Amino acid sequence: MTVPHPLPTWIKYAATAAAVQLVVACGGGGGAGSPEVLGTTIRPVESVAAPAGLAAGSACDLKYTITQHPVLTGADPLLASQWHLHNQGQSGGKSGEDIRVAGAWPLAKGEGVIVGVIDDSVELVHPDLAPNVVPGSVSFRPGNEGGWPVPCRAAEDDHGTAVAGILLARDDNGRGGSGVAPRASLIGYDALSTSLDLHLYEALTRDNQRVAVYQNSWGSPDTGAVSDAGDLFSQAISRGINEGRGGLGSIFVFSGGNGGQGDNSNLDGFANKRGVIAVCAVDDHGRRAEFSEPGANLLVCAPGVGSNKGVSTTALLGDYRSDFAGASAATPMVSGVVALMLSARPSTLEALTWRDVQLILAGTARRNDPLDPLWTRAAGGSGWVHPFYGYGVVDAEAAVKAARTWTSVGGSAQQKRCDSGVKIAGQAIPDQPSGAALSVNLKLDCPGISRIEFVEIEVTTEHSYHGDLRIDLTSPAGFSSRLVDARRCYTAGSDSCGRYNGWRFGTQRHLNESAQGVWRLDVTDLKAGDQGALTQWRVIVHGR
Amino acid sequence: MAVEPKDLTVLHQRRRAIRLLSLSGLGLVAALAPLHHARSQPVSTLASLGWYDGDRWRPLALVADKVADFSPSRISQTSVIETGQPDVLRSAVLRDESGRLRALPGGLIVRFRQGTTAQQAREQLAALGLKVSRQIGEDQWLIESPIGLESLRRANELHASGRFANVQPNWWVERRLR
Repeated sequence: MTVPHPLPTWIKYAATAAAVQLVVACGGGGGAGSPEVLGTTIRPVESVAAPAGLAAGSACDLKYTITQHPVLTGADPLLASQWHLHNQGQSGGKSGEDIRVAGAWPLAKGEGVIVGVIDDSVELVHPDLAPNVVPGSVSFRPGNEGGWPVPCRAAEDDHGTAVAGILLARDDNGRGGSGVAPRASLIGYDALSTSLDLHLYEALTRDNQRVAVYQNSWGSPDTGAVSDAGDLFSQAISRGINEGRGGLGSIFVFSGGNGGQGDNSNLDGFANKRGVIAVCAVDDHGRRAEFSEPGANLLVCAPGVGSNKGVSTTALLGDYRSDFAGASAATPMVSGVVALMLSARPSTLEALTWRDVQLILAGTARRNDPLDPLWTRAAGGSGWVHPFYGYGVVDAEAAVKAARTWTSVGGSAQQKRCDSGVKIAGQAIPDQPSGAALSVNLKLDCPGISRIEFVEIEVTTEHSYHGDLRIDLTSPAGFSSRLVDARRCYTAGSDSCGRYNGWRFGTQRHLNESAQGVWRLDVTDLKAGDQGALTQWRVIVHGR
Repeated sequence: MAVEPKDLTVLHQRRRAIRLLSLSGLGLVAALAPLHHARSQPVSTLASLGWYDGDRWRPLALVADKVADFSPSRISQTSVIETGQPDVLRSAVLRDESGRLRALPGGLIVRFRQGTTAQQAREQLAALGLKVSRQIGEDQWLIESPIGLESLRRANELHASGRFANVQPNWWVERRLR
């Protein structure tokens, strides 16, 4: 059955070449009717082939035909309600608790930057997204391979469409609200519609000379279990940061997770990799969102939920919603800020690398919830850092201004690496009630790294319940990263938390410290009963 | 230390009308359903289930009461599998150490050692009777293999042959939008 598409008549007519290729409406007929109003020049409907796989006979409810629409100008009616962009207390929150994008927009709106949204389907034909769509979107869905990654059924989830709207919904077009980077370009990949390893690899590496930012509001189930991402994913990230954008590196932005205090973002192999920006969420008072996870791997936060409403963004069938929430909402805000940074960089300077982007975000983030006692002054002089907030809430204005003058530290090729090699520990971890930690040390001889950017810690333990363990890393400067805390897990069919079997934790907390010296690992068993030992560990430092 | 897999017997799946379970978070292509009449493998064989993730051996456990349906019409999580769907579109479901569900839609991802040219890769694959679906990276290829546990068996066998840098099934894995 064909579901009527409620797009207004005028959406069938386009004035831009990009829109001619992309704007579609449902119901067939080619949109050849007369325009009612709008635009002084209405171009004739062009004949363009229907999206592959979505032609008549496909299993989709929604049918798409190619039409045209005019590009409007005018104030965005929902902008005033987008508290995450400019918080004036309209959601019941605290004025000023936003991403401070208003001061960034006069400098850049994302022009010239292509963002790949990896999600389920994205309604590329949504009138608030279509003007920003550029060729290159791909569907992986069976029956629609190679076609547009647009929704197939009216009842489909609109996650990808909502994420894309937060990131780059068109501004000043008299419709809806605005994305964080409203003039950035959009490519959609619906790899989460299949969730196959191959499709995710292909999406994360696709077009990586054109696509600058890969936006990912997804990850492992938030069960508290150790969840590896797999070797194929690691290859995709390595390939992106080493080869993407001509060696400048692809920017990968991932959700830090919705598992709350009982989970840890560092247990998700998608979110704790070197080269990945892991994003946490705060509410409209600037406090931790209840669902947001702690993690030493977190870099920055963004708003993810309001007091009495969510985030206003695009929804299916040309519609809008004001209840979108979660790390899924926070993550595209950071992707949007990255697009603004890349766009704002003067062409007279060398372009920003993936490392530059992470350093700028951390260095310019705002210390939200400043009275929270868990804030600690970072040992490397990089401001303050917090187990739930990373370096704080992303500050678009400060990041964009910094991006305009930043001296690049180079890309992957210029980053130094120092590896302790595997250290055999083979020591029992004291069980409760002793409360004592097993402490082991190793000395890193890394004179070449005076400013750390990322630390990987590989840990293997043998234990009858790994969820009993708290693991802390302390740097030569005496600064600690809590890699994981004791927890209960919620894995279907068991309460297993998985195993630390060569598990690689990541930490962003040691920015700009020196790598040289003695590193300490403390492993504490916080619950009586189950017992075990630390088998081996390893520290790998990346920096300059 | 990596554990060598024992022989894997292909699990033949024979079942009829099955009602889909709804999975929150994803519009899954691999719709999961209870497995009513599967012929189960001996426990000793199931204990050795696993796969090579690069250099790591990842243990798996068979989830006996579920099956993954990869028929192309499974584009909505609210669809219902019709009676008499061909069995070839269904895979056994496994659970990894993280508790995530996995299934095998068919296809192997083969990675060659650095320095292998595309021509050499094609020749090696052809010599082994492996049919290329397509190249997916400089040194990676997608190889045809059937849906289900047979793909796992072939991946492990090829990996263990030492001819390749890595061979893994093209997994469907439970992930969350968040």
